[in-house]
Formats: sequence, structure tokens, C-alpha cells
Amino acid sequence: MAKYDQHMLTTASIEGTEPPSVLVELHRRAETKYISATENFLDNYYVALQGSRHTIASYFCPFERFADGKELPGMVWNGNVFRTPEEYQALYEDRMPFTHYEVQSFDCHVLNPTAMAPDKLKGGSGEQDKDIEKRMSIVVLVSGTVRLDEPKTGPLKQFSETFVLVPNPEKTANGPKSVVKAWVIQNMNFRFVV
Amino acid sequence: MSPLPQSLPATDPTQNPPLSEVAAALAPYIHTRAETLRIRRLLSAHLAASLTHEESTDGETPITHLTLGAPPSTLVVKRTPKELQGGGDARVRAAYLSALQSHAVAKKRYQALRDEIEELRQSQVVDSASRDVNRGDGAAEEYIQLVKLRRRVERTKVVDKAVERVCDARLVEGGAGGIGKRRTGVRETDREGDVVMDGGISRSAEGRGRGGRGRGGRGRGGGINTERLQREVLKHVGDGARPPSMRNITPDRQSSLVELQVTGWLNSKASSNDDRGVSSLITFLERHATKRSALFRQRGGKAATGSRIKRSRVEGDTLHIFVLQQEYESYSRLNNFVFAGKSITVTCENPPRSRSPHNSGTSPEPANEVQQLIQDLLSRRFDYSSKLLSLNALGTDEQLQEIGMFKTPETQSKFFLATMKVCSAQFQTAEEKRETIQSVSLADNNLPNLSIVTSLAQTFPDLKNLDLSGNKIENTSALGAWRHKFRHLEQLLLNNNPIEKLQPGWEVEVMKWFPKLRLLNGIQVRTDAQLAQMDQSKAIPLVQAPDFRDEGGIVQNLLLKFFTAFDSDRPALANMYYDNDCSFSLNVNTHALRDKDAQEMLKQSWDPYIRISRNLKHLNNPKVRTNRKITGPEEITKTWAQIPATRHPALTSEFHKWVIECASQPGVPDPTGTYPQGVTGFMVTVHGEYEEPIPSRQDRTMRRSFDRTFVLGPGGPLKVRILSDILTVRAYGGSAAFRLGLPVAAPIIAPVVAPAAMTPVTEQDLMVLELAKITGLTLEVAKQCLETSNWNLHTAMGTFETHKATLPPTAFA
Repeated sequence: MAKYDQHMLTTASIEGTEPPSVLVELHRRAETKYISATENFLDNYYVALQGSRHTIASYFCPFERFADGKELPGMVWNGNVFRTPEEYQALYEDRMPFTHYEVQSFDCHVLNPTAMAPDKLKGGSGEQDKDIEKRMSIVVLVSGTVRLDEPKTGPLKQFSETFVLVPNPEKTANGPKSVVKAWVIQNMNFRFVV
Repeated sequence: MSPLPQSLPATDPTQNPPLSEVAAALAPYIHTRAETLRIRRLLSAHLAASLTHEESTDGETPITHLTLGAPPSTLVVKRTPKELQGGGDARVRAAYLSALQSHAVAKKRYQALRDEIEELRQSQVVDSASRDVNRGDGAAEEYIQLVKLRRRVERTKVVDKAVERVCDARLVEGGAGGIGKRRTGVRETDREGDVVMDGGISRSAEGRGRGGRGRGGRGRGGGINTERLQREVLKHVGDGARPPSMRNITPDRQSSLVELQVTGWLNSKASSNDDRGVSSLITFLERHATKRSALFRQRGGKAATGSRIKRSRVEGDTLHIFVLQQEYESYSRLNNFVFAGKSITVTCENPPRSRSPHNSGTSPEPANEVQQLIQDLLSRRFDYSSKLLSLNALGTDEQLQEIGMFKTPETQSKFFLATMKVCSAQFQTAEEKRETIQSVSLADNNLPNLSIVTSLAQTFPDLKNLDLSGNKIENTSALGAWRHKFRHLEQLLLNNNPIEKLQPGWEVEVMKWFPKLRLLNGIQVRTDAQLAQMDQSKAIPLVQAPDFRDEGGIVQNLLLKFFTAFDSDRPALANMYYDNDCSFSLNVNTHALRDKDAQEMLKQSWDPYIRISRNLKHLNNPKVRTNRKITGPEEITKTWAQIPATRHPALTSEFHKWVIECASQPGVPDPTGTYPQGVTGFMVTVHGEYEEPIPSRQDRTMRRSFDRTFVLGPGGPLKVRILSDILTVRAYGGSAAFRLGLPVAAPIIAPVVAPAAMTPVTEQDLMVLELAKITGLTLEVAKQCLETSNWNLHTAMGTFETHKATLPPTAFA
């Protein structure tokens, strides 16, 4: 992390003929943070799918139904629609055989730097243009393989998975590194592609 | 042989009449020494008459009765005298002579073989010596082999030690709250350790070459290998079963440990800790013992290494610690030290006597008794026909009681672990074990929980029947150690356990734990049908049709234009759907699986893509990471210009080559800025393929597959913009995985239908399915609808919309 920050400062000084504004600098900080946030998330998520399936539901934002009938989180697995994180967890706990995921490539963008209202961030400053790196939403596209049934010998499938990650409202901004996840899935789509 | 002592009461018949009778009866057979000698001489002379030395050079060894007792190999039988063929003692002499004859023959053969071996050995030395000179590399090869072998031996030793430690650690943990923290992580290696340990010894030679003790006849698992058993037992049981006083004081690692007992620490200030302060007590003892060690004083107060407690366990209020013998002194000095406000007592029941190694071979070996016990136990309690290993009521087993195997929980669990080790050592493969032992009974063992017997789950993971009745199990948490074990358990008996009264509803809990359980306490809890159904629902869900939740055709309209424009006019496309808030990036997955049947097996070149690829899995340079995300229509146009020309299959007619899904996506940036937390847009995922010209061969194209995610939101000239566009390009993977209803775990079977015959039919069928899914029409009506619309899905949709109101309810599925 320190490496990136340092780097950003140097590039800023080279590129910018005048000192960047506060807002630009905050966006820049978000820029460096969203990739590592995604990396951490993917590392944990795919390990959970494999080895700690009882925690799968905790990787999603809580079920919510809106006035227009839309529901969150969105979960589509090979065309099968799951309504609640618990249903998706049950898929893995009760029906899925052994799985081993390997991420071969991924890419991500910040979707909305201010996805979370400033007052929703626990322990945040409450200002609209601050704490961007904790309030943004991220869109992620993953490509990889999953081994089914048996380690090493089971059938291998190519998958593609898309996530939209949002800040976990349960997470406090400056609290201790708790078990509460910083990012949760708001929208997910998984497909076997080969 | 000695004459009857004259002082014996034989002379006094009134005092001991029976003995005098015996003496009288024996009198003819009892001779004085002189008489005996005379008889011997006579006998010798008689036998000598029929014997001679092979090479009668000078008869250097006269044939005496001593020669006859231990005959040299040169002695041969001349002839068997005719008169010896009668009865009586003559027959004995004849037997002696014939025995002597064969003895002589055997001795000669032995000598000859020895000579031969010696000769061979000599020649080999010469041979290898000459090879050393002549064929240097051959010798080197042999040497390398030797070094390799040595390394393997070392490795095996390390593994062996690790296994030993694992067992120790497990026993300490399994005991009454011993200290486990020093050996963290060893538990997991246990199973591996087993395998390696078994592999390290040639089992075919040892495990199979048994039956020397007449214990065969029990089938495959019946015989017990003594040597192996002894080793196992020594390793796992011997230490605990042997009273400390018998511990050999030798340089051997384990036996040089001395046990001390520490008491009086129980209610110290540290007792509120999780482990009742045991770990801090141990640290305390180690620290002070280090200060008092001789080595420490020699070095003027600078200890090279601290004094360590090798093992420890807690029994009640006593902490048993095991330290090296040379450190015994420093630990015994800690008596009456004050630990966390309490004065502690350090005692030793069996202080080491001296350093001289003694009493090693002579004392009775208790491990042998234990070994005998396990042998007996297994052969007595295994029934081959019913495949049942009955380990019930072990506490009342008289032989086990004798050896004190059930005095403390520690020895119990050690004994059980040793038994398990011995059991599994009998089988070469897991299949053999699974087939041979299908049921285990642990009934009537007074078990309050599974800590003593937990290793059963590792030894027999595929057990079908398990009897735990008549124990002291109070609740399901006492069974927790086996919660995720025994995945094939069909029958479980828990009768006569307190759990039946103390935890209502325990049956439901236990049923959940064991997915194949049919009979619980003899009551059927799952029928075959239920089990079959469970198996079925275990299957992974089938691949379903795309979940396309568009609103007002926004996404559909965009996609219909998008890929055609991407193939023909990228700058126009970039300016149509992207503005300065919109980002694009592309990444190449060069490792993706390919379609095995496709022609594109030729090497895929990624050159034009790699320069712009943003695969964050492998790209670590922060600057490059930032630069390869492209924002704004101008930059996007520039980047798209670097991507080779593409031709996507038509969405309308070749949609079986596509999977397109979309879902509503809240929190998409609002172009007006009114809602900083965003408005509702769409998340669109597209999986498909395209053709690309091969640079070297202008007339030919190659196929590639791609995955692409768009996030759509309001804004831009067409009122809809692509805020985020992430594209993954990979080798051609075909569209087989997109087919509906495919059991996803099944291996992909290459289509047997010729591609030409397949296209029209499958396509139309898929269109029917698709229309039926969207409209909710029955397949038949959907087909009619498509037929009237000339097999155009979009026209068919229009037709459906106009006729929707007039359609009868039967038209809908």
C-alpha cells in the first residue's frame, strides 16, 4: 500500500503542472484502493466457496426488497436465480460438490465513487467529498477455472463471474480490523463458459 | 544323576513313607558318578566302533563321548551294525547313528556354502575396485544411488519423528486439558504421517509375512505382525504404560525424560486465564530453571538455550512435566517458588538415580505385554463374517485391567490410539480396510465424550455401523468431534446414554450430521426413497436459460446496435454510448480452457491485445494498472483502434453462440448530479465469440471467445451510456457450455450430430424455448408464433405483444 501511495504522489507531481485539487486527490486515493480491495475480496471469496461454505452468505449485502419489487442482492448462477444470500449459501452447502477455483484474470473499475451516503459510513467524516475509498462501489469481471468433484482429477470448467461490490454498511470507518467484511456483493452473475 | 543324598528321610520310613517308595522305585536308574562314567565309556566305545574320521590321517581326535556329544564334521558313520536293528535300546543307538550321519552331511554343506559366499565376497570387492578404476561413472552412479537412499532414510526418520510428536501432542491434548499450544498444527499432519509411516516400511515383507504365531485363519485382517506391532506399541503405548521407574536412563531421546509433578498452582492469580494459567506456569518454570541450570552458571549468566519442558499434561490439580534428565536438578530446585501469588510444590516420584546405563535389557518389558494384549484383543474381538470390530466394555476386560490400561484418561487414549494404529497397519489400501471392517462397537465404555476414541474417525472414515450405546454421552456437543466425519454411516446406536433424557430433539441434530443415516437407535429415520431423493437433490443445478431482466427494451436495443457497430464503426460507437465518465479496459486470459473440438488449435497470438491488457491478476505495476483503464470517448476510440478487426455472430440468428444476461443495478452515477448515491441502471454480462483475421493469412479468420460486462446508466446522447465496459478475451471455447439443461458437472460429450444437420433444428428449438421463457407461452404456441413471424424472434415478440390480449389462457404454460 505504501508503495502505491508513494507512487501516486510522484506521478501527481510529474503530471500535474499545478497541485491537484482535494477532490481529485481523493479520487486518486480511491483509485489505488479499489484494486487491492478487489484482490482481497476475491482471495477470500473463492476460498470461502471452497472451504468455508457456512460463511458464503456473509459475502453478500443483506436481502432487501424495494417498493418497485426489485430485490438485492442480485445472484444469478448459470441462469439459476437465487433470492437471498442464504439460498445461495445453501446451494454450496447442500448441493455443490468439491470445488476449487482458480482466478486466471480479473479487472475492475470504480463504478460510483460516492455510492454510499456520507452519513451512512460509520465513523466517517460525514462530508460528501471525503472517505471516497470507503464509499465507492466497484464492478469486477473475473475469468478463471473451477475444478469440480475431485481435487486434481475432477472435471475442469472455465467460468466467468461479474460482481458489483459495495461498502458494507456494518463496517465502521476507523474501527479495529474486525471480522466484518469491508465489501459485500450487491450484484453477482456466474456462468460456465467452456 | 547325582546319587540320592543319604540324609534324606528315605531312611526313615515313618516320617515320609511315600518318598522312600519313590526312591526305591528309582533305585535301578540312579548310579554313582563312577558308575555313570563307566557306562558312558562303554557306550562311547560301542558307538566308536561304527564311526570313523573321514580323513583318517593320524586320528588326531580320538573318538570319546565328548566327540560324540558335539561331533565334528569329519566324523562319518562307517556302517550301522546289524545287531542294532533289533528292539530296545539298540534302536536308540541306531537312531543316534543315522542322526549323526545326516548331521555330518548338513555340516559339510554348510561349510561349502560359507566358502562359496566368502569367495563371492572377495571377488566382489575386487570387481568393484576394478570398476572404480575402469568405469568411474558407474561407481559414481552407485554412489549417487547410495546418497539418495541415505537421504530417503533421513527423510523417513524425520517423518517418523514427526509422527511420534503428533501422537504425543494428540495424547497431551486428548488428556485432561494438557497444553496443546506448543504443538500447533501437528494435528493436521496426522493422516499424512500415517501414510508415510506405512510407506516407509516394506509392508509386503513385514505386514504380509506374518502368521508365525499361529494367528492366521482370521482372514485378511486376522494376523498380527509381531515386529511391527512391537514398534507401534513401543512408540505409542510403551512410554505411558511403563511405570516411570522402569524408564531406561540411556541417551535415548524419549527415555531420558524425567517426570516431575507440580502442585499448588491451581488458584493462583493466573488461574483466570483460559488454560487455568498452565501455559504461564510452564513459561515461569522454564525461565527459572534456565537460570538455575549448570550451563547457565558456567557461561556467567548467559544461557545459550533456555531449559525446555519437553512434554506436559494436567491431571486434576497436578501438572506433570517431562524434562531432560540433565535438567532435572534445575527443575527440582523450583520447589516452594512463588508463582502468581501461590507457593508451588515440585516433586518427583522417581528421581533419576545415576547416569550409568543399567537395567535396560533385564527388566521385564511391559510393552510386550501391551503388544500381546492388543494382539489378543483384536483377534478376540474381530468377527470376520459380520465385519464387526467389537471394542465394547474395554474397561472390564480383565487382561486390560491387569496392565493398568484404564487407570487414567491418558493411558486410555494412548491405548486406543495404539489399537487404531495397529488396526490400520493391517491393511494395505483404504478399500481393503473399508471392506473388512464395516462396523465398530464402542458400547459400555463409560465415554463422556469422544476425546479418547476420536481417532476412530480417522482410522475408519467409511464406517457403516457404529455402536455407542451404554456410554455417558450427555449431549450432541459431546459428539461434536465426529460431526463432519463418517459420511457413510448408516446405523448409529446411542441407547442408554444420558443424551436421550437430557437433550430432547437430539435425534434431529444427529440425523443432520450423518447424511446417509438410516437407522438411529434401531429406528428407521430415513427411507431408501428419501436417501435416493437426497442424492438427487445433491446434484448441481442445471444450466438455465439466460436471466434477462430488461426494462422497456433499453438493454436489448443497445446490444443489437452495439456489436454490429463494434465490428464496423468503433469511433461512432464510442461517441454514441461513452462520455467522459465512462471507462473501458480489456484483459487477456491466456490460460483459459479451449474448445477441444474446434479447429483453432493453432497457436493463438495475443500480441495486439497484450499491449493493452489489464489483467490485474498478473499486472502489478501501479502506473500501468492506472494507465490501462481508459476513460472518455476519445481515449476509448484510440484504444479500440488497436484491437484487431472483429466479426461477432448475429445476435438474431446465431444467438445460441451467446449468453446475455442483465439485471437491474442500483447506485449507478447520475449524470445530473442530483443523486450522488446514484440511480438505477443495468448490469449486463455477455459471453460470446467473434472472428478475427489472421494477420499472416489474409483470407482466413480465427475465432476467439470473450466475456464482457457493461454497466449501463442514464446519460449521453442516446440517454443511455456505458459507464463501465470490461472485456475479457480468451481462446476460443465454443458454446457447448451455454446449452440449456446440461448437467454442469458431467464431462462435455462431443456432439455426434454433424454440424450442418444440427444448425437449423437446434436453432429453431432454442428460439422456441427462448420465446416461451420470455412470454410464458406453451412451447407449441411459441412455435406457431415464431412460424408466423418467419423465425425472427423480435418479430415474434411483436406478434405476441399485439395478440397477447386475445390469446386463450390455454396458450400459456
